[in-house]
Amino acid sequence: MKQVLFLFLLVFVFTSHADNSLNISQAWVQEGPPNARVLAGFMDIENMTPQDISIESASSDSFKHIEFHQTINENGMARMRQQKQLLIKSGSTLKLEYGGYHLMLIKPTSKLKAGDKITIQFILSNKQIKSIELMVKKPTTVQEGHEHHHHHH
Amino acid sequence: MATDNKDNRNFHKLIIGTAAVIALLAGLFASQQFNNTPATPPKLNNATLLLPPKLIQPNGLIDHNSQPFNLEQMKGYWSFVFFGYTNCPDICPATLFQFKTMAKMLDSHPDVKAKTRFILVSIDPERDNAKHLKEYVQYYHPDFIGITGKNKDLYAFSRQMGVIYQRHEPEKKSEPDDYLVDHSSAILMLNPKGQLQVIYSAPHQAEGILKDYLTVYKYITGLNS
Repeated sequence: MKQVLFLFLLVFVFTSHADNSLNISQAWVQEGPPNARVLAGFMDIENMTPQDISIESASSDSFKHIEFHQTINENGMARMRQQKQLLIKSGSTLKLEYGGYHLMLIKPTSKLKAGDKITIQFILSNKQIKSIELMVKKPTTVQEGHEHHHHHH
Repeated sequence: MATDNKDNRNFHKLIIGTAAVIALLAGLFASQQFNNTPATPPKLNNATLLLPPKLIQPNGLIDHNSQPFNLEQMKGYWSFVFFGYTNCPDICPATLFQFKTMAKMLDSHPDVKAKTRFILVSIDPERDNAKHLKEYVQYYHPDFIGITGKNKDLYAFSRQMGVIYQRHEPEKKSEPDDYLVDHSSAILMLNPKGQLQVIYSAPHQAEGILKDYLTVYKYITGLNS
């Protein structure tokens, strides 16, 4: 028990340090049907540090597990490909957005509705943990406009 | 006298010239009128109009109430059809949301709306049974229809519609039922005779699709009247 507590403390120490490494904004989850088994999470992730940083994994109490995915629209086909990690290069912003990269939030542990807030933890390549809050929102037509300038990597 | 002749000639030339210009304008006007008749297919922004349309004969499919959904059920409506699956987090919800937006926009065209339907065909019958599909599509709109069936019947239907899909197993599986399905991103449209009439290409945007649909609707309704 003491060891667990120590680990938690360690995590807290690291978390407080981690807050300056990645700057996350516009974080939201698209509300889905009440029986949806997967939801998508979107955000802008800015890396203002001199080093490249990857997000190695993500977890949340609100979902059974979380994966990184990229949607590829080409030759009339919509494909999704799982990504092992999300790389955010030094000085750049990775946009998780409709038609591009997204968090695939698998098996919600409760029915999520617009207005709910969920928390996700990212484990970063520098072993830091980044905790972020996402607001559940109804989809809007605005997301469609993003498709035209999504990023190919 | 010589001067009079010359004036006359000039006068005649003027008349002939004016007549020619009028004839030309009338011709232009007539051809423009002709272009507006249904004989010339309309130009669409992000869609392909199939002329003649292609007869589709679905077999063995069921709707979200587990009732048969074959050619007979397709007749009488213009149906927007999208192939997808409910475990798809990105493209499918976004397309259903575009359908919802279009349904709302059709409120200002009640005559067209009464003849329009929106259908999601699930190509993932292992995970999407009729009951699950019903709750899923009706979250977007109570009138939306979910269709599924046995793999072989869905495959046959998709091939008739020119749609491709393929199950894709990820390298690292968190759970045994974790797999993705690659699928065509086009929205297909069947006419009230159950024939494939329009293919809307991605990216899908409600206003654009609706504009093309209303153009086709007007054109085909004009041809048939």
